[in-house]
Amino acid sequence: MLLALGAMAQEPETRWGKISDDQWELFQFPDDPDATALVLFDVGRVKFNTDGELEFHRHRRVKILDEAGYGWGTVFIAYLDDEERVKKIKGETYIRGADGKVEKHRLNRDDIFEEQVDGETRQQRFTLPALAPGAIIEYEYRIETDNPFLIPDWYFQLGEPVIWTDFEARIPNYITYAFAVRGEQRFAIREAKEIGGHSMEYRWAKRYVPALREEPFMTTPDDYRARLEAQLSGYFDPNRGMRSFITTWDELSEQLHDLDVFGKHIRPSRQVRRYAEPLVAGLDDPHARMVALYDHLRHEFTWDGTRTFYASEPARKVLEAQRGTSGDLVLTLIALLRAADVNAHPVLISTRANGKMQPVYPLLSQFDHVLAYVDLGDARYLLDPTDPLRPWDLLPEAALNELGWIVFEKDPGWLRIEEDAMHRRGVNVFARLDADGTLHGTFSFVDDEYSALDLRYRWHDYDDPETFVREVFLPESLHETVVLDSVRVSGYRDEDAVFRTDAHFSLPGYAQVAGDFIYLNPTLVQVLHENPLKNPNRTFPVDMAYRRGQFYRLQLQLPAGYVVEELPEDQRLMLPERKAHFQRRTQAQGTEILLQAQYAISDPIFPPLLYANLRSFFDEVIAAEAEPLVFRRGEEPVANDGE
Amino acid sequence: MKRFFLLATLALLLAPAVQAQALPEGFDETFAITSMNPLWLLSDAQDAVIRLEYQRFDVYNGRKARLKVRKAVTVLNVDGQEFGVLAVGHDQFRKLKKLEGRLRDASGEVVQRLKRDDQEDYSAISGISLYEDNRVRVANLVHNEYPYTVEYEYEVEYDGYLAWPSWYPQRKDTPIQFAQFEVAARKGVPVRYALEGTEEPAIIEEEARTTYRWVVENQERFEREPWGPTWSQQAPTIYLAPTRFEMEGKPGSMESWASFGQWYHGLSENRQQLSAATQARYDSLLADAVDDREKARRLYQDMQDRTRYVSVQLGIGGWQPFEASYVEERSYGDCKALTNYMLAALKYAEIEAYPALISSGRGRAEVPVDFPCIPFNHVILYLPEADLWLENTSQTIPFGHIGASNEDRYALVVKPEGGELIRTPVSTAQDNRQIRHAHVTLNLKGDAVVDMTTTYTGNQQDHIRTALSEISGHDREQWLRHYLDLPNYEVSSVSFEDAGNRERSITLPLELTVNKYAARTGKRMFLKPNLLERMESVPPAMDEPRTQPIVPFHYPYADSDTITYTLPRGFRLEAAPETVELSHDFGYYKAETRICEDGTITYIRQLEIRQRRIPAEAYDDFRAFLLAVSKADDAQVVLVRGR
Repeated sequence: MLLALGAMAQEPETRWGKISDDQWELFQFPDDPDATALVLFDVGRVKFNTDGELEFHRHRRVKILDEAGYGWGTVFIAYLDDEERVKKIKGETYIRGADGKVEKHRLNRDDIFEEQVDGETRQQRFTLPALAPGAIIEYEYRIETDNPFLIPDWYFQLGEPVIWTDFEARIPNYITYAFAVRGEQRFAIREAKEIGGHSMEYRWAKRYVPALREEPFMTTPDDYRARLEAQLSGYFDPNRGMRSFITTWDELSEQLHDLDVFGKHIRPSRQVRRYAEPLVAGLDDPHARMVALYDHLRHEFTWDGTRTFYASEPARKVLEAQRGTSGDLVLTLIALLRAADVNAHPVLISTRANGKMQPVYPLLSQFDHVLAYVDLGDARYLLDPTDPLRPWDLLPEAALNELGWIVFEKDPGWLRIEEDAMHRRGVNVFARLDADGTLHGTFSFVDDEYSALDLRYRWHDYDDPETFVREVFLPESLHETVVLDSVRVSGYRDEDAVFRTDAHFSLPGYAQVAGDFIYLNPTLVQVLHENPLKNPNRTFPVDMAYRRGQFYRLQLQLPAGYVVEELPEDQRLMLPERKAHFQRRTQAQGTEILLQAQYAISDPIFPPLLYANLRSFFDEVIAAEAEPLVFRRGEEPVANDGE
Repeated sequence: MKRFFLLATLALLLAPAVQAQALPEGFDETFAITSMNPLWLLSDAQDAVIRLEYQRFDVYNGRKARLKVRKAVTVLNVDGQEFGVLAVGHDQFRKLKKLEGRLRDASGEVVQRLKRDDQEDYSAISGISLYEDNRVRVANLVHNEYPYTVEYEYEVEYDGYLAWPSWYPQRKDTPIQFAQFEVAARKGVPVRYALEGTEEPAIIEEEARTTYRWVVENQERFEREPWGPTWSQQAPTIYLAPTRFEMEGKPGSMESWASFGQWYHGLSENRQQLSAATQARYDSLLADAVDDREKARRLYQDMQDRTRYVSVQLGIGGWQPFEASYVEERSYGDCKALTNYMLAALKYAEIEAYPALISSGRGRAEVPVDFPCIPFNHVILYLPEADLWLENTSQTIPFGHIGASNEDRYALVVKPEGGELIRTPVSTAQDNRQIRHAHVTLNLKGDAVVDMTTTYTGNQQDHIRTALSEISGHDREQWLRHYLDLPNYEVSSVSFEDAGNRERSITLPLELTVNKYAARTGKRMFLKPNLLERMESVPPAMDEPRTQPIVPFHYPYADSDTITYTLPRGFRLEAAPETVELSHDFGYYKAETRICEDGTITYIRQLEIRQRRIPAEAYDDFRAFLLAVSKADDAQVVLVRGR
């Protein structure tokens, strides 16, 4: 295997149909014995043809290792209906027999299907014939467009290992692009050279790129995927010389502020002022004005589900329709805030699913959303009014992605998005244990911030409070046995900051009664049911978006005639820098037990170095929460019987 | 009961002259909220109400028909929004001719009209399909103030489409204020209908046509009881079907299952020619096969080795299978192409076989036996000599096994002389087993080392096989991590070798370490002897008497677990759960914890769900059974260290 890889250390054979022996003999990739396919090469070439059209040519060869890799044989090429044309699709499957003879199966023209996906996008779809384990497939196609903005991004890293990936762009001097590289920076080839005095040729190539697969608590696999993004940055106008689209963040900001869909949108017009006036009438405090406008937007306006950082309609129309993209809503909020003399500015962000920001590259294409930044002198806030259930002081989880670009007209800058709010819960249980094992009493849950928000979302799915309490708060094993009474839920309307739930409960047969003993699991509500980190290793951070905390308190009255036999040892678990901790104490006073447990994740991001610690921390918490209390019928605790 | 009439003959017997269609007197065509049943407005039980649905199907001849629909839906809250969205399927046989819409506010005022921007036309292609002609037009009218009413009018022109629209006089999510379905046929054009749980129509005779009319007023929505049959299995339905039809120049008759079978046979006739190379391969493959069954088995596995499933829906509305040579050349095909290819192979070996059209999937409605129509979505093969059924779209399914999605239902077996309904086999609990043996060694900390094998047969085998066959390596381990219901553990070894063996049983050997499997408190250890199988879902208690049968699972099954525990030295038993044994017509359960003389503990659990449908009267018994199982499954053994 290593030998085969060694032989491929040179640039691989990429001529159509020429498959080298080492490509035939390669069946594994180092450290990834599980691969279902190997991308032998993936070559992309961008150039401008003599008609000035942008041409993207892709040529890929894949070794199929087993049936699970057949998916690589089916190809969907998406393109914009009006702007792009797909040409010269060609595909072939090669199978080498035991005698070394290679059978070829050409992709038939009739087996390529064209599909109108929706109003804008079309797709060419095909699947390669005669797939079998060990087969090599190869395909190429070309996409042409008159629109130089539509230069493709290039992904060096894919869902299976890539042996060789190579992207080349030949750009004539009358046009320029900015290229942003993400992920690991090791390149086999990285060059830029002048060609014949009229073009620049850029090339990036990587060798042996491991597969990237999805894991829990990950912003998006694309954050960690090696890729190249390109954006048109300028062109040569014969009359005016070189015209630039972008060069620096400062210039980008100036350009944005000149746009109707951005800068002009947030300058309050007369209509916007008239609209804002009654909403803030009588409110002298700028903070109160901010909250009033935010609440108005989140309640009265509907977000259409599309994320943009610019407006799709003028403010006047957005106010009329009370509906729009995230850009429409947020920029209109900024305009209203400004109309009400609140100092507000847009902050462009990239949501978690869209990937991390890279401030070194002044590319607007990195952003997909915008927040409203409010500076009240003594305090600063970030607002996102797209969700009627979310109060002004919480950002959506999607927005918690490290950095935002604050677009001041002069001197725009970077802002670290740090959410103080956390997923916070307090649980209080007052209970009495009966000699038959029944546990009954009252519990109360106080949920705040993200925890309250989460409950408000779920509240809508239930018709009655009792089922809500049963299914949302209690573990599945108790759903059918618990008897609830006097259920009270408050704070499910967004106006309240705290979501509070109270109920009387009875759990017949909850504790195990055997002879003189009663065994009781004191944790009615666990922090974790199972360890969410299933994989033994991880090479990128765990990102839980916001901090978490839970406090659990149980005050328990023993049945008459019973005494404490054994209590679990006190626990104190802590990760470095107190990034996570768990603490539990159990005390007995006569026939009353007091158990208190505290759990906190005080930093939502754990680097790979701490992955193993975090994973075993979760294990320990789960184990600690399962430790039962033991009671015995009798007068007083027996002496330790000296084991 | 299903009833079936030839309307043309029935029409002669019944008196004509029912008055022309009209809305009930005083019907409010502005759909103001005040004219709706106030209970529907107050109650939490629905999110939307159908105010009016007027649907008329004009039949001109065996090919041509026109569907006219007028519909008004009041949306009561955000969850009801989806019911205000209209989706109309269309393709080359069903042309969408007209679509208009408007939105009214609660007072009935028109506030919005459907524009081009509110509509999208999507490809209705399913994810796995490479090509289908089906499209869907989606009209999306929404308002930011609830309640509001959307109104749509549209027409669809039918030309040679085989499946005529069914109509449902009751809906599962929305009450109906007023609805009417009319079928109007030109005199002399036979139209057939069948009724399932609904009443006879009024019949209106006119000179040129006969009209059949069903009217519904103030109909509450259908309540599916917990664990009841699916909505499509219970929905009151008016089935409609053509008698003579013509699709792309291929005329046929649905007068009987036999005649429809003839038509389908005509489409696939003479499409089974195999190349000389394939014939030669078969010759050597079959040379030493002893009987037809063995021949069929070899041909089937050869087909599985050489093909994969790719859906391409083309040819006579997607009804005509591709030639056998299509599959030979490409090594892929859809269910029709692969079945036809398998048919060709069997023909070559002179084994009698016929395609069998089937309504495949879980929870599908029964085929109306007395009413020839088109409820089918799949095709398999039937071999009458061996009484064998072959599912041809899976590379891994065992020979002769058709799985839960094809079993226990009528299939239309297509012979040259015509079609015939034949019922597919039914599996029993003993066919669908899961047999687990495990040895667990516990140490002082409660950590467990588990050595386990689990064997799956029948449909339980399918569940494991299909999950594993689509994935490999890394993804299989991910699957395992989600499949095992344990809070925290490491897999030390696993073999997935059996997943691709195409045998009727799969065995999965597995070694695990489970940290702190047994909880420790002081000198005690708490062990749940039931390692992996927990009955967690139990249907809720019902306030009203049960009326619908209970569907406990997709198929009957039997699980058995035998788990032996070796304990750390120095522990003795303090408490053990008692044996639980429950026996009913619908199921059986036994859980037993045996303490052996050598200090080991053996846990034996058997669970058998015997019936596919349990009568409604047994609901309380069944629920009590599951509750008892769920409690017994969670029982624990208490061990104590020392004397």
